[in-house]
Amino acid sequence: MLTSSHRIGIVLLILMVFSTPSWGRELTVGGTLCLEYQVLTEFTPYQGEFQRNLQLDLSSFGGDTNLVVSLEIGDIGDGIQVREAYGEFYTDSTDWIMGIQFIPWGVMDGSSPTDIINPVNYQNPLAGDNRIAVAALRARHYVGDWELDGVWVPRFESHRLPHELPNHQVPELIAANGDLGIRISRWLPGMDIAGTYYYGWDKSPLPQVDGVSNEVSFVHQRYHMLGASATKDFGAMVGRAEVARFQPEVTDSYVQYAIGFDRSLTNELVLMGQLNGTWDGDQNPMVIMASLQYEATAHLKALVSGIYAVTDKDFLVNPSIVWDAADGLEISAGMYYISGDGALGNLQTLQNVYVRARFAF
Amino acid sequence: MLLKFRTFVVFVAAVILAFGSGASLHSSTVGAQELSGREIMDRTRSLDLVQDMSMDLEMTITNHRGQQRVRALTMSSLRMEDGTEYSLIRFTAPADVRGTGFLSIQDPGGNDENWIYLPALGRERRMASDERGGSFMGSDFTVEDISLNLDDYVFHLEGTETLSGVEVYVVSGVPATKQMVKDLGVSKRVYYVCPERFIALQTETFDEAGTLIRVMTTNDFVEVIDDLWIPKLSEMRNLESNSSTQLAYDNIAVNPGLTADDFSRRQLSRVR
Repeated sequence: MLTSSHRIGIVLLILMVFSTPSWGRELTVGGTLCLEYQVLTEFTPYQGEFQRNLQLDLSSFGGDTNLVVSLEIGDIGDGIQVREAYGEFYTDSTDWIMGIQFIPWGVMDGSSPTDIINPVNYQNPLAGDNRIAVAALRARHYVGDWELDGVWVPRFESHRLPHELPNHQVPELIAANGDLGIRISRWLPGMDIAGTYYYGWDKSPLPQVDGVSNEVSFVHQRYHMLGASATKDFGAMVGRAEVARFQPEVTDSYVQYAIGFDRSLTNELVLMGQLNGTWDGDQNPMVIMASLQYEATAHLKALVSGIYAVTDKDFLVNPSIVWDAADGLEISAGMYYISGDGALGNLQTLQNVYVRARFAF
Repeated sequence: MLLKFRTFVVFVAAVILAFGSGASLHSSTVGAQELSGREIMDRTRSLDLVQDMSMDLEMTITNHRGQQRVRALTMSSLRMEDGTEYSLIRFTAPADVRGTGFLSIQDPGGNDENWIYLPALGRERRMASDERGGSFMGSDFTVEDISLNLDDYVFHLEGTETLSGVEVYVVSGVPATKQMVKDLGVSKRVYYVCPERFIALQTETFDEAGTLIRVMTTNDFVEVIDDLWIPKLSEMRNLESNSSTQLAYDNIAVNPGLTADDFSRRQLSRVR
């Protein structure tokens, strides 16, 4: 069955095919092929898995109008997925972007509290980029160093959870159920600042018990989000901070925050760190993320990334070696080690040792 | 790699500007004028004619085994009357960095503002202004090789020589202080300057021990506007690692009429 994403993708592909030669446009074809062999170490005997993923990007650029379609072909049994499919139209001071797209509003290197427009695919939480594109109309209006970014998301899309939920009810596809958001940002000397407001649906389902039948269903609630972010240049270091206050219609309000930095310690050594937290008047969980990268040579680097859930005392460590074997070809090897009994620790079944080849073309 | 894009902007701009030159208003032959080493070096950098420029660049890095890596990009730059300098680069190859953009704005006080646009992220990202950096992506150039502040060196005209059939000035440059020798890892540079166009045809770099470690040559000069000559080909040979980096410039446009609007965040996010 064709999803709405597939329909938009097909329409844009047809437009691209017919418009490119007749308008003298430039058609760019590129993509990434990723092959990975991983051994799941939580199982006895160890289980090996081979994963393939092809991302095919087609872009047709023609001055003030561009078309972009990105397809993803995996071997998970999903067939061809439309990763992104959108058209861009530039006017004097506004860029219009319409279609299935990623809309990143956050400024953090790790998780950003104000990055709430795109749902997340939790079926593979260790994947590098597990955002899901949404069908949206976006307008970016520029006045000097100011940018006004407006977004309308007409169709609700939930986070993709590891297991299908029973009685999972999603908002109807009607105009009144769309999400709306606005972001105002400015570049200042040495600093970028932004303020955001979003009125939309929480993409995490909320369990709801029927008082009569005791039947559990999962629903979504509306919330208002008011956020702010700042990035400051401190010379050899850049600091980033975000805060967002969420006011749900059903549950209590809460605040999420993040503060982080990246710093080049030497020519070869780069350190990044980030603290994320939630004030919800209850547990106030905090998570620390850090990454240390050492460039042994121009084509060989070692990385250690880690996540520590302060409240649960869970942690994840991902050491790896990345070799830039040839232009466009990257070969890496590493492992995920996960420990703990909390939410992060529950991912222990995914811990693995891997070898990965990534070829960009 | 991400943190070294600024280095690259500085590097590209400096290579083409530092080794291109305004021709002498009074074409001369060697020995016809009483010029000091510093005066000759000043002339090699007489680039007030350039306000804005754009070009395509291909960088080929060859290691000691003969294996090659190729990076391709387009670059534009603008120098405002108040001294503010803008640079915007767009990578076109290799495929894993294609679409990446970098915007650098340097105010008259020398303060840098740097942003990178990564197509995979789909957003602009501010970067540290005081980035350290040696070579870029395995190239044989260092920033110190080309972002030369003439005041940091004491120049001396050693005499003249014939280089590839051209009689040239030989100018040596020694760091002004011992601390600079230590910081730069360089004890001396020797420039072979063409007296007709005041272009450094060859530059030799010596390490702290006085050993010749790098040789840069420039070739295939093109007059982009009246009296302004720029090399379309530059090569740096690293004698220590037995590797080399070649830079080939194409579609060079000098003073094409770029404005600050061409170096805005909007343009950065439009990088293709």
